[in-house]
Amino acid sequence: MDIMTALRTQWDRIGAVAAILVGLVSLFLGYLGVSGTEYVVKQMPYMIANGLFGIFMLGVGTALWLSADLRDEWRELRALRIAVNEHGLAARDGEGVTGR
Amino acid sequence: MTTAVSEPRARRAEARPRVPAYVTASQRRVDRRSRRIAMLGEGPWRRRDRSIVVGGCVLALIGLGICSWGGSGEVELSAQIDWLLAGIGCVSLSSVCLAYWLLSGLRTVRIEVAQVFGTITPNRPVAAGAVAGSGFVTVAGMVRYHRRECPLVEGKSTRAVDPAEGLRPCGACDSGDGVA
Repeated sequence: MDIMTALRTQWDRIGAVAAILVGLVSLFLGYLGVSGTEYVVKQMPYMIANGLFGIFMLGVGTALWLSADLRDEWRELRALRIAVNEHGLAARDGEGVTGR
Repeated sequence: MTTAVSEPRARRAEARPRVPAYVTASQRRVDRRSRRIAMLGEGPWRRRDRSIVVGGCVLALIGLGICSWGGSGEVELSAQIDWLLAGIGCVSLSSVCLAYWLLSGLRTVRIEVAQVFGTITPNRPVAAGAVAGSGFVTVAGMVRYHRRECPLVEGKSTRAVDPAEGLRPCGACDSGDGVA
């Protein structure tokens, strides 16, 4: 599978991994910033900017990954239902033809 | 005879006019764009769900930016705590929207599961033991009780059970409502 195909078919999982990585990097930078100063007033902007943004990105990444799983499950179920419907209709048509 | 054959050919040629290259290129672009929209739009979500989650996340992101900007401009701890609380509110808003997104998708998937089970009709008769009793059945070794038509017990030798026996309801046939 080449990169473009992977991007097209797995865009949500790739986005999820990217969001989680961004969140982790943001949290780490926030940690570095907070640990570099001992004044709470100077630590607070790191908590707001890096800490909350990191948590936000982790949430987005998790939701994207779970929604990718849901999308796959839904696609499989829909394909199964369509196949069952078509098979049922075909079987009914076949019975109708042989019954005559 | 010859004219009868050549006339439809000429008509077919008229019906299929030569398309200029720029038109086909434009059609290809439109096809690609519609494929991309279909790729993004495919899934167990409605347009309203997408609007809610995208709107909520964008609002939360803007709010976080404002809180970060406001918090870094303050020198008093109490004012910074206010900005921190506002930021927590923004993250909570995005969390609610994302949870709504996931629950909405899960609901649609469950509906799809129910439709699949509704489509599949059992073609084997239910075991005789299942007819008596409360309408629920189970199989030896199972820890859940099922409806008689549940595909998980289809074709197996079942026995009738009472839900009060201590078994758990089946999640596939939704036997938890107590109505057989």
